[in-house]
Amino acid sequence: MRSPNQAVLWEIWRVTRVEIAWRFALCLVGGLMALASFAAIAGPDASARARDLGAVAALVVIVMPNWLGWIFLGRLNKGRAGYPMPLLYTRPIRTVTLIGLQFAYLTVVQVAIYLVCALVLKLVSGYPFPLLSVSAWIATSTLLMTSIYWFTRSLLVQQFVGGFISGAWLLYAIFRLTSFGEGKNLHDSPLLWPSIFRLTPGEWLALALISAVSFGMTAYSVARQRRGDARTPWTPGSGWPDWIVNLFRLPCPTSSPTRAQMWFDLKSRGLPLLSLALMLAVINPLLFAISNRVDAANPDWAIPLGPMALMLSMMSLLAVMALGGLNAFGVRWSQGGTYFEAHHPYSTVRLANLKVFVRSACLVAALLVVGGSMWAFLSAYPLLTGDKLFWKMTGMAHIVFLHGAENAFGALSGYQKISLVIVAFVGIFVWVASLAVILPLWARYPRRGNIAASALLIGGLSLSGLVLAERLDLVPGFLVDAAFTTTRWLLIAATLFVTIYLAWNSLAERLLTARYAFGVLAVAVVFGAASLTVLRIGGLRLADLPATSALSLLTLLVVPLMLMLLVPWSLSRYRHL
Amino acid sequence: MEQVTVDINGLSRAFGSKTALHDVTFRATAGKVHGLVGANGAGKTTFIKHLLGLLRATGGSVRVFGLDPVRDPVGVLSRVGYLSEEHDLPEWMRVDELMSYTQAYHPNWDAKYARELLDTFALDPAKKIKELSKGMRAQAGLIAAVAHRPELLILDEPSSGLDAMVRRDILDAIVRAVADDGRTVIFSSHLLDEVERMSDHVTLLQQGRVAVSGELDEVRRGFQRSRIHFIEHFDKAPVLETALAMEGGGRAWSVLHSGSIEQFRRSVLARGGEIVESRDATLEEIFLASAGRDRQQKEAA
Amino acid sequence: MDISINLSDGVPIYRQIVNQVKYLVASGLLQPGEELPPIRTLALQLKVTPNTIVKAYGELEISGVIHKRQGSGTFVSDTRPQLAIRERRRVIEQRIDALLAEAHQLNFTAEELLKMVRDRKTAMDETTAEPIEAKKK
Repeated sequence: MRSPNQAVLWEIWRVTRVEIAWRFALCLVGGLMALASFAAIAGPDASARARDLGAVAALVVIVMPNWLGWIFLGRLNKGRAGYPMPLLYTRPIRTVTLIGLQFAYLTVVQVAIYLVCALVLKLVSGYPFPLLSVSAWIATSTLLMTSIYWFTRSLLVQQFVGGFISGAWLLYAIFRLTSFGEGKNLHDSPLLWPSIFRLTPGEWLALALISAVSFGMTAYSVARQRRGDARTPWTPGSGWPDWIVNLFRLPCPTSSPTRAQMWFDLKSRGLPLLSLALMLAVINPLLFAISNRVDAANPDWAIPLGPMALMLSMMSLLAVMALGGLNAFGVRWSQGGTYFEAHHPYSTVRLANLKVFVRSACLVAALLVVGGSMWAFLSAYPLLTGDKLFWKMTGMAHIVFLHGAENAFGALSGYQKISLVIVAFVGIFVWVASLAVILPLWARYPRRGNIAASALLIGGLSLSGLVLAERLDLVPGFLVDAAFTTTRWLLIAATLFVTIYLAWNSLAERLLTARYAFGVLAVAVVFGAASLTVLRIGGLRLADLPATSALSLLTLLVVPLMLMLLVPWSLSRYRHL
Repeated sequence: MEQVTVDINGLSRAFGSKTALHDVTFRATAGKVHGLVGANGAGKTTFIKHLLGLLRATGGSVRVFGLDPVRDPVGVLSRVGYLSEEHDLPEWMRVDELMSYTQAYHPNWDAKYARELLDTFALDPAKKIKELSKGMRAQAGLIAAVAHRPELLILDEPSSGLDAMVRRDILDAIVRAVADDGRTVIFSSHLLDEVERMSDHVTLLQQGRVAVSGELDEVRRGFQRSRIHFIEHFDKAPVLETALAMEGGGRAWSVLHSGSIEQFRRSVLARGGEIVESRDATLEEIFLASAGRDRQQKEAA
Repeated sequence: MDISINLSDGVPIYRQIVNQVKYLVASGLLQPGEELPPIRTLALQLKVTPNTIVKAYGELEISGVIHKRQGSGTFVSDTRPQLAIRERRRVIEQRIDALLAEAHQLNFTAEELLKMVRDRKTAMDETTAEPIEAKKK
């Protein structure tokens, strides 16, 4: 190699060549398959409509991978934000040149893949696949997306901005693809592509501007990172960021190990979750109030902000569910070393149960806080929905749900209310416990974990494929029914088998005592009674169901019991590798 | 009668297809310091993790205080203090929180001793683990390990990457642990001079197997380093029986040999040389000779 | 107590300590009745395991160089230690063997060696006589 520039290009080529190969293969093969399958489904007479749709599908297939971005970049830096190749900082090459070369490489490669695929598809099918305009757009989007990942070291900023921009990208792509004018349909569009995808001079200018700004910003920011001026990033996998953990000063109790361990879990995971919930409980109503004001002031905007704010609030609730449920055992990836809690004299069963219990309690509290604030502001403010049907329907659904739920809850008897609460708590426990056991088991049995995950994925995909095929009348209905029945029986058998095996194994290893096992059974019985009561509220009686459905239902009720056995078992497997 | 603290018989452990430990037998008696040495990847850390129940044995048995650390973690860990070279301490914890947290698990925590050590090491209790340097983290970990006066102190490469002052603190802690109340210490180290000073009993692990094990003085006596003067000039090292390693050139050679001294002497005389001086080998020489011979065997194979 | 440990000596550590203590006593730097440092202190000072000190003190006690007083500590024996004649001979004989081997390597005969020993003794007497003279005055 004769120069640093060549070396940089060679290096990024080496890192990306496999990915380029399979992206190219995916695009080309996918595009051709889309064309072929639509033509095949349409039958021997191959109506023009089906083939047109096939062309649209092919275009989508060859453009979509650009939305996914480059996987190798994420892997290089282990998921951290910021420039992924800091080892290059010590090379004798200017930052501007470095970024310029790498950006140029990625853009050229991305555009080349698209161009080749589009040309091939154009030759094969005869449709006017857009070349220049979409290439330019792809080039710009590559620059933009890559710069989002490189210019900041803060994961939070990267995810938010990145999510926002890729969402905007997707919306714009859909908008462009479907802007075929009045009176036309999707299958008319391929012949209209030359006009749909012609960019105005304004748009060309915008693309150029976005590219230039992305490049400039990234070059500047990476130069700062190179000099060490950028903040140190928070690494994912090491728990909550510092500032949120330090919000509450809570001294560690020394009176008993249980209290100390509870403090440990609260301080590192539980209280940060609650702090987040409190912050959301304040932010959501504020956002909603502000967007309502804006809506009231501008009643003829196409997209009312109120429902958007509401959707954000719902998503924040889901985020709390996800963050609160994940990794209750506190298994750390990024720091390395052994499991700190494993060094201390505390029985595995108590440790596992304590962690899941504390986490479930915190999650319940967090959900109540965020949900409660949402309930409060939804009851206080009307939802201004504007004219579009979609938003009106969302708004109506919310109002109906709120008032309906309030009335329905009030109508329940005390016993039924308690059952509902029990089922809710156990539901949260099931969520937290399921997420908690996955990581340790995967760490302990990585190969079996991979096999199980692949099996689940393939199974799920095949089932959905079967359903889709049935809708398209490709397979007879009884095959799908048979598949579903088999899956159901498999799951029932698996659940029962796993439960019995865990009970047997844990008792044999003295991991659990007989007393603990009886306690677990008692809790399971209580939960079973509570769930049956809840189902009866909804109008479902166990006696009325056919045998197989009843069995499935009972197996579903066994799941919490299985988890209560699985939780200490999986922690034991992780603590003693 | 000496009390056996750790009793390991035929311990084997494999990670997938790779054997980390094979048929390791080890016994630790109370009131003694046991040193564990070996090359990188020889299995020292793996071995130590079995003592704490962090790994399950795939073969053989591990008993600490007569208990199985996997079956009864509470019984074993309540009497054990552990310091490792890995980054185990949670980064978000403060030093004083670490002390309180560990104190909660051990009823016989000596708060005065802990405070004394904190002062000696000049550790700021309000600092978070994340803000401490590697040496200070080792010091914090050391306080947490020794302040509850454990019957068994286990140190896994405690001095790796640490400056001389922190290393001295750790050695002091070992001395104190054994001198007061005759507790047991097991420590592994790369620094062979440290192991030589501090161990009563030494075990050398090589590729998962015990190569040498015994009281330090006996082990050293089993290997001798002799200075030989030959009449003849040798360009390449002459072959002598029971010799493990030879250094030097020409007429003056230094030989490390183990086994029968008589055999060696006869072999030297047969080659026309005389033994000028003979002394016990140092641990480093024994280690290098064993490792070197191992490497030669691998190269030959 | 000024003791140093040499790891590459080939001599076990406890033996080095024993030899050095015996030397200190024999040369008068440790007076009879003087207290030796406790095991813990000496172990910390030398950075060796206490059991080595225990062994060393044990051997010194057996040879009668030191004795343990119940609860008070370890002291140098009052009476001038009657190291077994054999023990004293053994120490010197070791040195003589090494000297003879070295001399043989360097091609000195036994007679030349003996003459050199006498010459060196005379020189040493002269240099040690002066400070004693100065002390007397």
